[in-house]
Amino acid sequence: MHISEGVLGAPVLVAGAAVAVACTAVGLKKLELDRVAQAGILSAAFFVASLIHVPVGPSSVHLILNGIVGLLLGWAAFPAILTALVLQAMMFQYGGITTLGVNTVIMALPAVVCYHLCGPFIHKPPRIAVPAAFACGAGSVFLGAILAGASLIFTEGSFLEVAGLIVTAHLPVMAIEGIVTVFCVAFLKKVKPEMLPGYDAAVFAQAKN
Amino acid sequence: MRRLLTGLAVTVLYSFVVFPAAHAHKVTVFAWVEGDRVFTESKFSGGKMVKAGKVAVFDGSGNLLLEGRTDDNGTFDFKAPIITDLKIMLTAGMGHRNSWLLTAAELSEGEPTPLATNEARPEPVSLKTPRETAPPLAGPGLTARDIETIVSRQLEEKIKPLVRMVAASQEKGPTMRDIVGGIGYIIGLVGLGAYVRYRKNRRRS
Repeated sequence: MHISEGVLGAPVLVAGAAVAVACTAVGLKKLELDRVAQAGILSAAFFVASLIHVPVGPSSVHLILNGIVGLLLGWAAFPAILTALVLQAMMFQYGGITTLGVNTVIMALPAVVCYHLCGPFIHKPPRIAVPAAFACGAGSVFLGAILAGASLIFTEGSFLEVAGLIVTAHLPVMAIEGIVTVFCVAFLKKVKPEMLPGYDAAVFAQAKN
Repeated sequence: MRRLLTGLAVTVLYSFVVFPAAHAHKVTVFAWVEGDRVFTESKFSGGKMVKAGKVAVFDGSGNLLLEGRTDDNGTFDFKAPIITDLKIMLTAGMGHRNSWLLTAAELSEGEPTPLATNEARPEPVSLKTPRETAPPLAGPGLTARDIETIVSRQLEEKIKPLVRMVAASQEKGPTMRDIVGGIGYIIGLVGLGAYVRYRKNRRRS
């Protein structure tokens, strides 16, 4: 899902960079200093996740983990993912420096959207929480694929065709990430529920009694 | 928290176990010259060949010279239309692209120089002007130029495997050093955040 240097035209690059800068500013503002360490750990996880590849047909796709990053960080997913992408571009030559903005939007925007869509259901009973967690993991990859297709409109022609291709290629990743997210959420609910969004200490204490 | 950290450690370790079998999300293209043909090889780093990737060849000023698609082995070859700097651009779909620059010098070296004909060869030793016999005779019936041609052809033959080896080593996946380095950067940033927080706390108190 990393778009290489030189594929996109200037308008797309500039638009992507502008959105990325704006959203990163929001993210930094919302990131309390107490949660910097958490953002760092998730940024590192995102950075390494791209190395786990799933071969699909002629190409290959890798884990993205933007769903879980978004779920745990909310808007702070933007600075976390941007940091990881800068390092991936520098160390692995994935993506590129000019496409940094676009790539950040492709991966971080779905994370924030899924945080808002699925976050409120995470503390519900399992029959609601499990599908919500799965939707968060799979959905953020799906939306990322759609955004990647959209940003390639001007270079590869038909949007439906390109987006369809990217979504199909990422179907296994969507499944894997959905499952990973379900397990992460189940684990965190037991161990450290306050890390998950929508945690209310009072409500939780009541539920336990 | 301890269990969380253990879980994370296991995940990271697992990722290293899985990693060697991985195919990276980056394409590379490599081109070399054999005779008057240019050969290109395209790979996803990790070794998987790019099938039916679009290869476009541009000259030094960016004009499109020719286009083609890679075969199942990721190769595509063409006869260089003109001797100039060639930019070979590979587009592998889904936003993957890379290019390789082939200089005019490389191209002209690959071009077999025709053996000098007898007519063109300068007359054998002339006693009057020994200094003017510019390409000196190297042996019976062979000028230095002939030998140069033969040697260069042989040399090309010999270094062919080396060229391929270089091509193969061009695209190594991320190394452990890259990975650990990247994580180090992130830890540094976290440290910076912790420092800022600590300073704020101290000012307040």
